[in-house]
Amino acid sequence: MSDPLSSDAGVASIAAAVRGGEASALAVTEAALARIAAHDPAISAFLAIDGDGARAAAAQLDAGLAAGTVARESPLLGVPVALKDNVCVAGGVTTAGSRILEGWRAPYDATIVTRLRAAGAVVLGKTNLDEFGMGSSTEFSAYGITRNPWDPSRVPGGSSGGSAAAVASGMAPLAIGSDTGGSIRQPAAFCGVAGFKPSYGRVSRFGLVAYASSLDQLGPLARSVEDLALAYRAIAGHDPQDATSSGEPLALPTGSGVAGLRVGIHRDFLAALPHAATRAAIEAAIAHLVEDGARVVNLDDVDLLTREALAVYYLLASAEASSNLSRFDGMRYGPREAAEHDGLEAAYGATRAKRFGAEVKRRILLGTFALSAGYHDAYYVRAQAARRLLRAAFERAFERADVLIGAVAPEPAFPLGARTEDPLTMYLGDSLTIPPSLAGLPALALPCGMDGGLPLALQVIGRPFDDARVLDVATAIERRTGLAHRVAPPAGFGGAR
Amino acid sequence: MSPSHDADAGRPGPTALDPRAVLAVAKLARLDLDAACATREAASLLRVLEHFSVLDALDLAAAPAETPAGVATLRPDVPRPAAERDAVVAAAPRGSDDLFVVPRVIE
Repeated sequence: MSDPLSSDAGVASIAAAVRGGEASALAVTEAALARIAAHDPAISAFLAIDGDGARAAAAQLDAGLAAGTVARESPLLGVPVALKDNVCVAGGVTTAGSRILEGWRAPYDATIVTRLRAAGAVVLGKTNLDEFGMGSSTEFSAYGITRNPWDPSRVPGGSSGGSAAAVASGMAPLAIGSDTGGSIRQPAAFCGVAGFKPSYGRVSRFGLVAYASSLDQLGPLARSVEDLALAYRAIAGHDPQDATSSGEPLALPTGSGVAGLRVGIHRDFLAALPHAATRAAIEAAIAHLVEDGARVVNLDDVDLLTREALAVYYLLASAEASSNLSRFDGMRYGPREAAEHDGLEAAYGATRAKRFGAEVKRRILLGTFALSAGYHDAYYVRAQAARRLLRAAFERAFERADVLIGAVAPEPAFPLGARTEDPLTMYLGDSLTIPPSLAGLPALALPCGMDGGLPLALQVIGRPFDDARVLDVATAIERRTGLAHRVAPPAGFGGAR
Repeated sequence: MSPSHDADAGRPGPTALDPRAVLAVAKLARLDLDAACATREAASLLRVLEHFSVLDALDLAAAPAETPAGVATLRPDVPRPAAERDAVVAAAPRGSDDLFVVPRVIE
């Protein structure tokens, strides 16, 4: 077991150490807070650090363990966790990376927070994100950019870039992100950590600031698949507070091998990749699975609509965003940008124009247009039909394969500022994470190599509610790649160990 | 918004987007945009809308009418007890007895 106070200590080893009395929850928390103090000035992963709250929660855990009132078998016992700042924590500021929620304090805990705490986790603070989750680089946060711990001149990915960077730099062993079109998987890939988007409906979104409700899903980021699985066990399951929460029976990973597994490959996710090193790393990982008894199934004859998926996603997600974000008007939430005598409409318009960022306004405009009279059928209805076609295509693919393995993104982390002025190019980077999101599938990003000092990653995609198999396959790959528990070297981002 | 189309009105594939149309949509979206911003957004949105024409090639008549099994996750639409009033008020940022307290918007 690694030192539970070290930067590379994982969820499993920390919980085991606290359970066995080798370390107190408070000592683990103090070590994490010290690393945040040392490293975050160079990374800017966190928007808020709740040191006092974390220490109090950890001390309470230690006291409960001593008194026998805290269950020692709690899967996340004493594990520090960072939360993306679109997850509500009662009494804490939740900004969703937006000025329109500046200073807004959530009146309740999100279900995922309640479950993490019940499992023994200690909340460290809130991480940076693209405003309302709309972005792929964490450059569209109203509170500044986050840097990639492997190369601070590059983006950490997005929109859960703060969560991914916090885990990659060793500041937190576990973080929570949200994924609407790839916002857990792509930053996990860019930062060299593992990230899991469970099946749609598997993890409650109660208390998540909504972006696109038919797509949004919460999930964990960590430095090993084992750690993801521990977090998944704690957060998954039905929640009556979320109308889309599934009552499907919850299967957990078994650690079974891959003998007899049918591994689907598809040109759009592999052979057509422009980045040769990513392609080679994924092919090597698949070769390991074959050595372990898996069989490769070529699915090129199924059109997975990856080209059309981007248009479908940006139409539907923007339409849903235009509706979801209509509640942010300076009256019900956040500060107001007009005098009362200006009138209600003027106050709405001024507040939203000043306090939403450019990318959010762009997507609200796009979504409002797609839903407007005369264009609803041409854009929104057509996109919904195309989404159903895409889901049916994945169903056909999964008749012949148990999982699909391919890339997360066309290439590794790109330089800061390279795409901020070109929305379409930024969107095109999401072309491989969006299809599973539209189909509601479980999908996991996993490190599979390095190239030029930057992490490479692959994606394991499964059938709806076959989350446990996705985790098992990822475990088998990780065992062969040996890339679990890596922390970006502090020399890379100027922090002190 | 009134984008111009190559042909086949009502289908995606605009070739131009008038900034005044962007301002009209912005009004619907309750966003005060100035003219310069509307011009910038018109160019940006046009490029995105052009990309959406990839949907033209799809045979959407072949799309299933229903969501495939295993994906639909909405809970059954059956009557349930309403939330307790005290709990609802307690969840609001500010409350008074059985009422929400909200910012004053009308003098």
